[in-house]
Amino acid sequence: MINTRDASAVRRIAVTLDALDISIVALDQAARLARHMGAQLEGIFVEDIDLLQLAELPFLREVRRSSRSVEAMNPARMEQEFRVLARRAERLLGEQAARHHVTWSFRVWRGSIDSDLLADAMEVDVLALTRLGSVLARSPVARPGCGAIAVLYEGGDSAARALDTAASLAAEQQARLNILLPVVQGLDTEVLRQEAALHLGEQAGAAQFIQMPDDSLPALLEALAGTGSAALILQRDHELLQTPTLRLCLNSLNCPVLVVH
Amino acid sequence: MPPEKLKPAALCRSCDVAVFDFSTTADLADLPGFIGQARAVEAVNFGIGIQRNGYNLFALGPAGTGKQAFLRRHVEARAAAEAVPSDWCYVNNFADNRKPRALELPPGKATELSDDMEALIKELGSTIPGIFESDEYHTRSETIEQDLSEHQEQAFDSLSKKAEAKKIVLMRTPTGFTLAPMRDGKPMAPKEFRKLSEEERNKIEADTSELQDELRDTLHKIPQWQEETRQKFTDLNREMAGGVVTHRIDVLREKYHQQEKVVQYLNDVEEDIIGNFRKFLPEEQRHASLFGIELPGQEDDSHWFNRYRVNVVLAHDLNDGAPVIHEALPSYNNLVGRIEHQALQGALITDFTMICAGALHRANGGYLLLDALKVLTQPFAWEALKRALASRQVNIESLAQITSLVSTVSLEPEPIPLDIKVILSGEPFIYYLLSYYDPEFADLFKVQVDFDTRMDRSAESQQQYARLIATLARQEDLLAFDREAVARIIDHSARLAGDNEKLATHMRSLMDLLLECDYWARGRQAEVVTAGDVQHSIDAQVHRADRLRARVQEEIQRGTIMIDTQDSKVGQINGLSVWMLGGFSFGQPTRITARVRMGKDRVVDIEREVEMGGPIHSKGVLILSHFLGARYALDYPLSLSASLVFEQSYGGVEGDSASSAELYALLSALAGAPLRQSLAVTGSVNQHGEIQAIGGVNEKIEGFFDVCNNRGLTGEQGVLIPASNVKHLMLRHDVVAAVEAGRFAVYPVSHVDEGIELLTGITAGTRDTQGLFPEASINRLVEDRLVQFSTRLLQLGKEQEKGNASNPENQP
Repeated sequence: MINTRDASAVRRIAVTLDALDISIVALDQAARLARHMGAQLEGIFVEDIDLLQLAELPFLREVRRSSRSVEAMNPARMEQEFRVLARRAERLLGEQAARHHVTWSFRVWRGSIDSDLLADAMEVDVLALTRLGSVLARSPVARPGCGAIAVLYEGGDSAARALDTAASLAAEQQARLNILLPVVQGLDTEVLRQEAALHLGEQAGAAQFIQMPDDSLPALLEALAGTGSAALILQRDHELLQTPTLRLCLNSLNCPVLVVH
Repeated sequence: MPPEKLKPAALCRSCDVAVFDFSTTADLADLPGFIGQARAVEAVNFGIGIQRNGYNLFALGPAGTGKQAFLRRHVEARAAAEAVPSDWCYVNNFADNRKPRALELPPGKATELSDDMEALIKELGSTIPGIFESDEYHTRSETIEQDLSEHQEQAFDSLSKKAEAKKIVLMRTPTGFTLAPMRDGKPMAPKEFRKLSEEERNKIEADTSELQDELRDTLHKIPQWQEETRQKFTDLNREMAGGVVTHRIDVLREKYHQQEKVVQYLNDVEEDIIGNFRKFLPEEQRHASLFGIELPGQEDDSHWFNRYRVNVVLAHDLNDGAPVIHEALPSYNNLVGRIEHQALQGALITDFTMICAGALHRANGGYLLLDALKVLTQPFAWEALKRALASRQVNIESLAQITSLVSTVSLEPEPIPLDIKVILSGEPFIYYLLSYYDPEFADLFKVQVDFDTRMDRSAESQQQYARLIATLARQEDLLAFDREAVARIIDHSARLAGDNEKLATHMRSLMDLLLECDYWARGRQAEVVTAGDVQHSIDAQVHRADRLRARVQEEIQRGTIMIDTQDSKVGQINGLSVWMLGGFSFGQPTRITARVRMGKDRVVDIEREVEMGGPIHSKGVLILSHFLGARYALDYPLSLSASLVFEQSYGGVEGDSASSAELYALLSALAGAPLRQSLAVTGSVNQHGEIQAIGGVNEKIEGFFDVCNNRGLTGEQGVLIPASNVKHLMLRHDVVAAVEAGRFAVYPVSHVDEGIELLTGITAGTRDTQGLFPEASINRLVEDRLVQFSTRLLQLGKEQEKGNASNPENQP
């Protein structure tokens, strides 16, 4: 169990690397956090088994993204392409790790994203989740300037650890800390705010507290809009991560999600 | 009748101290202007006054005449009242940085522009980042991003919904997309699909195919939307950056509104800064990223901001007047400027900030003084100078490019218009060579400024000379000169001019003498320089230089060099020559001998035979030989074989000043009449026997005098000189004193008959009505001898013919 502000207890930080869309932003965020906490960085290359199985259907066609050419799906070819992408992902991971001076490791994970990923990958202290298999391409054109770090706080030890992680990341990047306080039954947002402020101490002064109408995904999306958040920190046992459609949740957000164990 | 010897007064025209109304030069005012160079002054005034192309000046005159000092003083006086020319600077050409642009500004403004640009960049370095950190920018840029996302989302959503309605799901693959059958909200596994009926499978395939076409259409639109988004970001960035940049540059545009090219430059700066605003952001924000991927940036931005610098190559002070530049080393680069390079990672780089001005730039709008010989001896400098003057612009090109030795890309700075007056100075021969051999010279240097080496000597000019001495003495902080010293200097000036009716205008000689006089006078703690100091200085100068003269005199004394100074000899005479070694000249007697015999009309110049005689010397010998042929035994073929030689001469002979001496020796040999060895002779002779002027008459007389004086003057010794050289006499005081005492003499001779009478003591003789010279006259003796030779030769010829006729071998 992680106590408050015990950065030295974080040993491993993992980041998912979507075979179809590697998020440099997520890599960067994870590497920064690993450096700040003196932890090892692990890259998990995600291969969606559902896609591989679909490739066996003979009538399926693949429309290429840039050339718009059409070709029959081929499992062997797809395996090959996954290997190429895995090598590329490993190289990018190595570059980011070197840039931030952190030790790193790499592995390939194949399975069903919705049902198995979180359980299999969550052996680490922090897991950075990115969009997985999203139809839409990478993040839109970035602009000069730095963003903020958002954290969803609902009270409790897990939430406190998530808050600590968010505060560390914000301090490292000299970014603004956005603390999202959902209105849910049984929780007083003002109490939550004071609790969080007390927990943060001096850092609370620079933090921004944002009230959410509830803790649903739409409410979360609305709260994050316009904040320029570069990452969202969630506790492991949050409801949003428990839904069967984890992919949908991740793909709806415009930034990587860091799940704190 | 032989000529009378010259009176002492004719041997040296001394300056009369009584004409001076001052005690020392301290009483005299400075001499304004220049002395003795009226022609040159007029030419300079004309040359620098006329403002037309090609009217550059060439000041010609021997070294030491004071050309450069005169020109500089004259030009500086004029330039001080002329307008200050424009400032010039080089700036970056944003369209093509290999061709830096030249900007002209009013004097004093180039440095101001440079400072203004520096301040501008510094200010923008802090204001631009602020703009891109503002809430407005964040909001507007996020809106653009959101717009693209929504576009793409809507497209794929629409497609996904259509697919969903047909129970088909849109999925991504490693390189694109696919449409797969769906069950319970998830992709259908292959084994499930195979369990479907054929009809169901066919429907799925057909629906998939239809949706596939739509998918392709959607994918086709995405690049277009991305391009539009990129353009929106570009426009936004330009708008944000432009807002602060334009406002700041407006201030400068207003300040420099009268300089159109500067305003144009500022417009380009504005455009460039807006287009490169990222360079003004902090390091971590500089690199643009596209769709989350960071774009590569410049490896090294440390020199990047140099592009906004202003390279001030010419800056003037408002109080300066027109520039007067004297370039002491007129090499190519020093004249036209150069482009410097810097070594960076093994390569040579350069930019407009490394352009350096040359002398032509610095003198633009004014005057450039150059030494002609130095320009001509510097590789490519002369051609570059002419090119600049002809084109009326200065073009900085590297020599490596011109000579095609290096083909790397270098700069081509915009040429700067040239408005300049170039004044070359040099020896006359350089001017004449250029005039003859360089066709461009006459087009570019139309004004000849001819410096004379001497001026007329008159009462007025002597007064001016005294003021000149006073001026120079004050300039150099010397002691004042008393009037006797001034008179002595004037006499010496006439000696240097080699003419008692002239004064030398060789300023260096005068200046050297004044400095040395001051030295000697101070050495004896004097308060003024006296005539004695002047004489001492002159003597010391001579002594420092006359080692070889002393050596020659010594060897004559010792008999190594055989010179007779008494008695008489047939066919032998003392000729006189001048040695010129460095800046010192001295005279020396040389024995000339002649031998004659019957022969085939040939006067042999032995010096010429062994190629030790120059052409002028040979010309003199030919003239005297034709004089003989035209004067004597006209009815007889000339049957003379004669030889002439300069005895003990091993260094070559040139000039015809000894031709009269050679003629006397020849006449003596023919007539058998001995010549006085107590006399020496100098003078050139023409075909009519007239004695012509020669050079170095003072040195020659003194040379023979010294020989006689060393042996003890007998009162019989002297020198025959051309009468036309009398005006050149400025002999030493000891020579004049000896003449005054009757122990030495100088005879002015106009015709060879006068000279032969002096040398032999025998009348020369003129033809009577019968055409005969008087008996026992020199000319008669000569003619008789030549007739004798001719008669004898004819007789021998007849005898030989007779002999040949009677020889049996010759019978048919």
